[in-house]
Amino acid sequence: MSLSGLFDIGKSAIFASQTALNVISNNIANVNTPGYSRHEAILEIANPVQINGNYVGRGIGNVDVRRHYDSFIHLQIIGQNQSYGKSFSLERGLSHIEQIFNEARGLGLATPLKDYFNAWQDLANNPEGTPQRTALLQTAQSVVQTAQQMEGDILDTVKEINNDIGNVVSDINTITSKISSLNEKIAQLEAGLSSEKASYFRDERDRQLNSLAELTDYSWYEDSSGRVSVLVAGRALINDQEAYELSTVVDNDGNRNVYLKGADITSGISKGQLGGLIAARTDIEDNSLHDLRKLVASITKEINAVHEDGYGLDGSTGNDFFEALQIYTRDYSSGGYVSSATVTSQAALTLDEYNITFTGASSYEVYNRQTDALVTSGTYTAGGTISFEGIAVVINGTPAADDHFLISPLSNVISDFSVAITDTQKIAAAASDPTTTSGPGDNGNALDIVELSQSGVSDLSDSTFDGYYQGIVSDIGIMSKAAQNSLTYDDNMRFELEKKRDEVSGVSMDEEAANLIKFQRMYQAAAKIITTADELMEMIINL
Amino acid sequence: MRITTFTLFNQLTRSLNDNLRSMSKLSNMLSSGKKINNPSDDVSGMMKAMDYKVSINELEQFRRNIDEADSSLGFADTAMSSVTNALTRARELTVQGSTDSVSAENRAAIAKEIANLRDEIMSLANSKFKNKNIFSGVKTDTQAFDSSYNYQGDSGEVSVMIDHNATMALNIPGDDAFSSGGTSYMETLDDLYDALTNTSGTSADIRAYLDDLDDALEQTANVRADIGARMNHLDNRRSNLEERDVTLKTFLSEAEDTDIASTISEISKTELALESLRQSGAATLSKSLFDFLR
Repeated sequence: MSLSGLFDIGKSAIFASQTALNVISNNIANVNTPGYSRHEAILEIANPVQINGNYVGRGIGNVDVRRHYDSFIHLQIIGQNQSYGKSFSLERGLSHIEQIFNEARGLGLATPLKDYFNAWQDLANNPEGTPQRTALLQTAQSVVQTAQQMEGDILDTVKEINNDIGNVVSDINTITSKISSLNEKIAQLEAGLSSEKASYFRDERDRQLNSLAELTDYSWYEDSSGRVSVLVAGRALINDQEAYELSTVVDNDGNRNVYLKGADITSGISKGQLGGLIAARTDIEDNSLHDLRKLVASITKEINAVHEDGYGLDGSTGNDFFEALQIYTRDYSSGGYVSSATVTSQAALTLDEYNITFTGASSYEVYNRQTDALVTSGTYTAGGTISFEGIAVVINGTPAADDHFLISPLSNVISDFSVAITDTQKIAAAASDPTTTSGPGDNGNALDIVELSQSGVSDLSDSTFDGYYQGIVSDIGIMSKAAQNSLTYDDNMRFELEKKRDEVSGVSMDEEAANLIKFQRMYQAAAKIITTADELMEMIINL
Repeated sequence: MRITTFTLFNQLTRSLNDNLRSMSKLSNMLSSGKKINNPSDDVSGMMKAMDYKVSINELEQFRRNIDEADSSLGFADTAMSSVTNALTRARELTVQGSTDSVSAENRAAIAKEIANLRDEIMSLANSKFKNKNIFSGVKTDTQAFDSSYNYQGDSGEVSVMIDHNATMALNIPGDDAFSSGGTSYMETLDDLYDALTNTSGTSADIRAYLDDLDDALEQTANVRADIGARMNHLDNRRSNLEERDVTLKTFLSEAEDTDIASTISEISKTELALESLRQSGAATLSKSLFDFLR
């Protein structure tokens, strides 16, 4: 053991403490960086040498820098972020709709409906009065306007959701291209090394994977080269070669759907903001929007049926109060088209929507969209009439197997909703002709309409108009409440998991301060070793 | 468990956020006066409130209908009371006119008064309430009786809804109110007038009308009893509706109104929590080991 060995020991200690101080400083610098994993300098003893049968230390050996990281927690965080993203956008979409039906603030259809039927009662009290007739028409207008306002607001929300789907998809594309390029950096840096050397890139990639999880659900795995592959709806979004772009296509219904490599994967996305947006859109369209349209259709149908039976002050009868229901169609066929669709009997309408599905070029089946029940089936002849449940549809052209046609009394019912009566004399308050058999005091039909508002309607599962509308409000309240609850739950879970992650990977200022002192002292002591060795050396040289 | 600086900060901001959120919810409840501000705040409470509101609104309409029926029947009752007075006076005059001792001049005067009473009853029968001929059945645009005292209305009743599944007619057809035995009172009085002015007529001819007048009086009494019973029924209904209205409004208030006292105490609790959070946050977060290393 020579004196110069002291220099070596001192030098190794100085280098080691420098590295450690470096690591500590970096930790302190990143104390507020989200997703940063704490690093720690791991000191190892240098191999000792044997001198005169004794092992003598040679100072400090390799200094290893280790990243504190728990891959299991990261996996949980990704899963939790996917749930959180879904709850987040579901809650947002539904709370919009909830405001449209916010009867707590008197918004919505309950008041206009009440006013409308009260106006019929006022008319029953004064069947010959023009002011009562004018008031009735005004309340009817307000029912129409409120329903149209509400539908407009719902459709605006759906439109916003569709825009958001487009935005989220472009965010996803930005993230996947980042992940893909990080994949390459990590693979290059770690080529041939067994440990995870590219720790800063890994932290960054973890952060991107977390952000991606908030946007969509995916499964992922890391291969031996350190690259991650990401699968969305069972299809590769990122593989070891490249990242693929998601795209969106607007379908016939105006809804934006998500495509990956030419395939529609919309139904395969169930979580993340994208999953939440898609779920919110379906919830809104299938519940609030559909139910509101059905209510308006039912009001039109039932009021008209009673109104047609009555007589106006001028003796006219058979008049519709609201414009009669019509049938709307949409073709999902390249060769065939609906050339006409009409209501043959308003009374026979069920207010359900139908799909005419072609099982072959010459055979069709009609399904009820709400109940999925087969309504009728038959052999197709171009231009032939397909009749069912009060509807007559004529299809032309050459439809092929799997083509279908949507037949709906509902889709435009609110936008076409309007009061047909303009002449107050034609409001049918009388049960028989007031110009011949009865008189202007006849209020029999007005009372029948009031009766209608208080009794169950079979198309609405025997609810009253009020009751059915309350059901709509209750449904949206329940859905919105459930979404709020899962958002709170997911947010708490996410926080707990991040706390767990921080337990392992987070930076503690106190800990770093203690370490800073520890390695400062080590550095000072190591410098002293070198000074001491120098003095000893000087002493020998001066001998 | 390792506690890191990030965790400490996050925990504090989250707790602050939670408390601020409940604070905003509570003050919203206070300012709106409602504990349910969105359907999702309390779906079943909201449904109850909507049910109560529908019922309260219905009751209000029923009360309006009752008021309508009440005023119409009240008008009819006043008219019928005048008819009764007129018929009573006509009976008195008939008794006077049928005595043998009455002079020709007196009989002419009596005849003149009978003619006046006839016209008075005629105008009562054709009286209009809110511009409607209320004694014409449903033919409210037609005078109940024409100049030859023939009934032109019908027997239609104008019913209004005074409760669920309960209606009440607000009119009395004139053939019921102004005639007995198929003869209108005006016709009877007109015939009586003819008898009084007929110079060859006898007292017995005149006395014969006493029976008719008694029938008419009985009929008007019946009609007035009917009107009275209906108005009584309306009164009962109205107080019943008012009671139900009060009950429903209490229920509605319980379902949707803020309990101010408990909300204010919740607010002060939350304020206290916020205050202590801020203080403890200031204490723990402002210090680290670095503050003690010099």
